[in-house]
Amino acid sequence: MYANKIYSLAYKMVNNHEDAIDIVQEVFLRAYKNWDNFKGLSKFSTYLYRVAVNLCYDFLRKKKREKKIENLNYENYPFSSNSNSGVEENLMEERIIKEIKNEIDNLTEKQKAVFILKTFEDLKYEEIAKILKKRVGTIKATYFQSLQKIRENLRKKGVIKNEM
Amino acid sequence: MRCKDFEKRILDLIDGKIDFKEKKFIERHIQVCDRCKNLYNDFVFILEKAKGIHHLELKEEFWKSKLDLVFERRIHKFLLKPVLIGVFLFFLIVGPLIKRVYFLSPQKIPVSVVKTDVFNHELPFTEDEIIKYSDYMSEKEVEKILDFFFSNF
Ligand SMILES: [Zn+2]
Repeated sequence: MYANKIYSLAYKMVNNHEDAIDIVQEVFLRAYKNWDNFKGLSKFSTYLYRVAVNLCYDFLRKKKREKKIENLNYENYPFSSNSNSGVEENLMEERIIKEIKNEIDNLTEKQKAVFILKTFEDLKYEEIAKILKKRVGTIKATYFQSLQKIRENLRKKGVIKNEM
Repeated sequence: MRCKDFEKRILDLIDGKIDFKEKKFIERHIQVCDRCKNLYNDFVFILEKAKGIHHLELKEEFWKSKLDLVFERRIHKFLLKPVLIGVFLFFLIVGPLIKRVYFLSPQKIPVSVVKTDVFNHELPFTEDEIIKYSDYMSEKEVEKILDFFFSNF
C-alpha cells in the first residue's frame, strides 16, 4: 500500500509517528493536486517518493531551525559480548538496533534518504537516483558514505568491535 | 585487487550483483586483507540489524479516514473562494438597498441636512414642527435648536 510505504519512509526520516502521518497526508494532497502533471510522465511511486522525501527535508530543516536538534542522548553503555542468556541476547539485539536507529537519524538528510530508500524500501540505485534527481554514481557513493558513517560511530561506541 | 577497488564493489557484493568469476576474485582479496574483510562484515552486520528496525503497518481504514480528512480540508478550501465571492456580491447588491433603508430611518438622518432644514425654516416653529424635527435629531441637537428657538423668540 502506497500510504504505508510513504509512511514507513517518512517515519524513518522524521522519527515521529504523528509527523509522518502529516507528511503522508500532504504527499497525497499534492499528488491529487498535481495529478494531471505527472500522470503518465514517470512512475507514480517515484513521484510520491520524491514528494515525500522533499517534504521530509523541509520538515527536518524546520525542526533543525526550531530546536537545533538536541543531540540524542546516548547512554554510553558498554556492549558486552559475553552474555550467555537468551534474555540478555535479546536485550543486546534491541540495544544494537536502537543504536543503529540513532545513527541513521544522525546522517545528513540526503544520506538518510538514500539509506532508507535502499535499505528499507529495497529500491534499486537507479530508482533512488530518479527519485532524488541525482546520478546513480552519486547515490551509490552516498550510500557507501552513510554505511561508513554508521560503522565508524558504532565502533566508537563499541557496538562493533572488529579491528579496523 | 586493491582495497580501493574492493570498496567500489562492496555494495554490489552485498547485493549479490556480482558474477561468479568476479566474486571469486573479490573473495580472494578478503582472505588476505583484514581491513576489507572487516568492512564487509561490518556493513553486512549493520544492514542485517537495521532490518530489525520495525515500523507500524497501518491499516487501510486508518489511511482512508486520514486521507478523507485531507480531501475534506481540500473541499473546504475549494468552497471558501465561492463563499467569499458570494458574500462580496451579496453586499455589493444588497448593500445599497441596506444603505437606502438605513438613511431613510428617521433616527439616522444626517444632522447637517436637518440643520439646514431647521435653520432655513421660518421662525417660529410650531410645537408640531419641533416635535417633527426632534424625531430626526439627537437630544443634544434638539436642545440646541430649542435654545436657539427660544433665544430668538
Ligand atoms: Zn583490502
